[in-house]
Amino acid sequence: MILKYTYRTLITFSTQVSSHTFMLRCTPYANEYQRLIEHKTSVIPNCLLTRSNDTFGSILETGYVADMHDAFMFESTGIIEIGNNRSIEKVNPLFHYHSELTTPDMAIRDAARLIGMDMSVTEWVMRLSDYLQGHFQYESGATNVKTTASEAFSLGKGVCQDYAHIAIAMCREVGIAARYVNGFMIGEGATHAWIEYHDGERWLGFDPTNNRPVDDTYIKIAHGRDFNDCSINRGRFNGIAEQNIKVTLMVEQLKKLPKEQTKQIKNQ
Amino acid sequence: MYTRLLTQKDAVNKWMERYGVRFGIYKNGTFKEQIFPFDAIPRVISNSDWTELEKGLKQRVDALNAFLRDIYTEKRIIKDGVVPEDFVYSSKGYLPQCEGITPSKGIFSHISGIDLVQAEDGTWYVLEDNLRIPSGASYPMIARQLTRKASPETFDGAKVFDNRDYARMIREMMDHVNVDNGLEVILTPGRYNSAFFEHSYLAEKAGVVLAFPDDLFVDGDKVYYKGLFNERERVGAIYRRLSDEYLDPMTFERSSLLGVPNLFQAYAKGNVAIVNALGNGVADDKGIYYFVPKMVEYYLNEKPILKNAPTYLPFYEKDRNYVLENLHKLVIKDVAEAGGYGVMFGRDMDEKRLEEVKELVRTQPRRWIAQEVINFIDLEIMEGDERVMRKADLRAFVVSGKETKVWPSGLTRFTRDPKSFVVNSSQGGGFKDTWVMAE
Repeated sequence: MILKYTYRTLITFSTQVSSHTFMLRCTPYANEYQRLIEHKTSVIPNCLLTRSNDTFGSILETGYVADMHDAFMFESTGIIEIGNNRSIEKVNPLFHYHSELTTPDMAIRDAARLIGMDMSVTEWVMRLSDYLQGHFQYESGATNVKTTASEAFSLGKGVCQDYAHIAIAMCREVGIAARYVNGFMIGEGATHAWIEYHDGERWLGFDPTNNRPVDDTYIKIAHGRDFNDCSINRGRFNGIAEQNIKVTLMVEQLKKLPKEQTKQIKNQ
Repeated sequence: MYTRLLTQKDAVNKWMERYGVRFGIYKNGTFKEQIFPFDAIPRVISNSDWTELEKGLKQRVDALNAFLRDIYTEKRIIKDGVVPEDFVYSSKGYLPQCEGITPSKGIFSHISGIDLVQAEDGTWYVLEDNLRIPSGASYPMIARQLTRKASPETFDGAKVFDNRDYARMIREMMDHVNVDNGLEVILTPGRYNSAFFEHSYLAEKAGVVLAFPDDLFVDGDKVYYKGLFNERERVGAIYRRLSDEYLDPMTFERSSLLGVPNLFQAYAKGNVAIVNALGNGVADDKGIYYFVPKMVEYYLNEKPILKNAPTYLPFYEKDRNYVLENLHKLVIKDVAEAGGYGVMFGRDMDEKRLEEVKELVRTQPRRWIAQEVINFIDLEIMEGDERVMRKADLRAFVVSGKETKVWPSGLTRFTRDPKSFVVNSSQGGGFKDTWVMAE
């Protein structure tokens, strides 16, 4: 599927701030099933953006605004072709180990054991997701970005980030390599989170919040051990100001590529 | 040899107070600075004893540096089955962000503080390797400076290695790793750090800039020092006295107000040297300690000169059974703790406590190491006008630049409590100068 997206965050500060350093992770991940046809990141105030890959291969853009400003905007737009959402990338053993936000407590351990073992990895993940649908409720505002899998699980409610953390904790507990994914999907007005698990041969995406396998309507931005490795933006500035954050996201399907792009691809 | 010096002990302590030789500790949530008591009787290490120790320390630090280079790239030592994967990936000090990064000149541990004790038969045992930000070198430095001032005649006849060139060793090492001939700085978290005295003293002696976190910023993946009038000067080497997790809020602990945002990116691109490198915690983890003699054999193909204290890893079933049976005579340590915290002696525990700790060992075997209690030698200290014997250890400093060099001195710490075996400045106690004899 060919998807066109525009993601924008506008932060307004109640008073002027300066010496503003930031790090963005808002460019789609490039791998064998995601091909970036066109992409652009822009920031206001304008400044030098430097690009690199983090240790998990996600694309980072960093910058520094020295002068006073009372608003900061970054925008990522692009056209991307998405395939079958399967990757034969090698397993980093790290994804077998619990991380800061996914360290399980007894309740998660017990729940993981209750699912049983006599089935394929994919079947197991689906059972886990069914279990979560029955025992965990979607509710925004109940948790925050620092909430751990164990905290969310005992609370019994949360958002996509919490679904993903709990699912990852349970997978790792029974020996399945699993990682956190941050991205966009058709029909969502903000970023979404899901998981990837390794079935012994390849990495597969699963969305525990919506209880379904990830398909070509999902755009992957970053992956990592947990949310901490995937934040879409982090920043620090000098000044005492209240921040008002407005996020907009539009993802739509393109029936066919715009003309110039078709030409470019043919030329390659 | 030092009788005359002892008559000057009060003068020396007074000077130290004037210089602000202090040590800060957090107790019950409040920051308290206290005098780090100096005992005028030096620890004397004979030349032959030192020669052996020096060889052993160089060897150990070279192996640890080889381990760090390997762990963040090929991981041969895991593939070859010498170190179990578990001890790397579940170590708090392992930073996946550092994968594939080779620091300037390939050095990870530029300044290593190796803690040793000497047993009654003269054997030295390593208790701990400190490869992150080992502190304490400034204390024997200033002690030597002041004792020479208070009693110059003591040093006329004594053939003691001078120890005042530590700052020059640091400077040479920083010059060696410096990227693009930039500015060299010591980055201090600030006034309320327990070792602030040391940060400012070392910066002055080494002739480098003492920088506070706000003085530095990153633009275009390069680090700059902000001058008085906001002009920028490129920074080439940072001796940071700030731990990994607080160094860069963009990559690590986001709530850190002390760090320099995006410093990690500049480092990853090879645009600045960071002393010591990030991610060293994976090599001075108390669990990894067990494997250091094996590293010497693996990387250097040599027989380890220095001994570890006899150590058991409950991770291995055989060791676990031994620990469970002999807990009453062992010392048990939490691998995640430092500064003398999380250290428990089996002989101090009652039946109930022993059972509780055994349960912890059974349920979280990876979290603990157990060691035989070494009967290490007592050193003489002055308690008022009386000479008494107290437990003491030695922190030796090894500087790795163009070559690996051992500083011919070190921090000797002693406990004031006659019953205590825990020698750590965070736990009270005092220090001595360490004299290494030139012949």
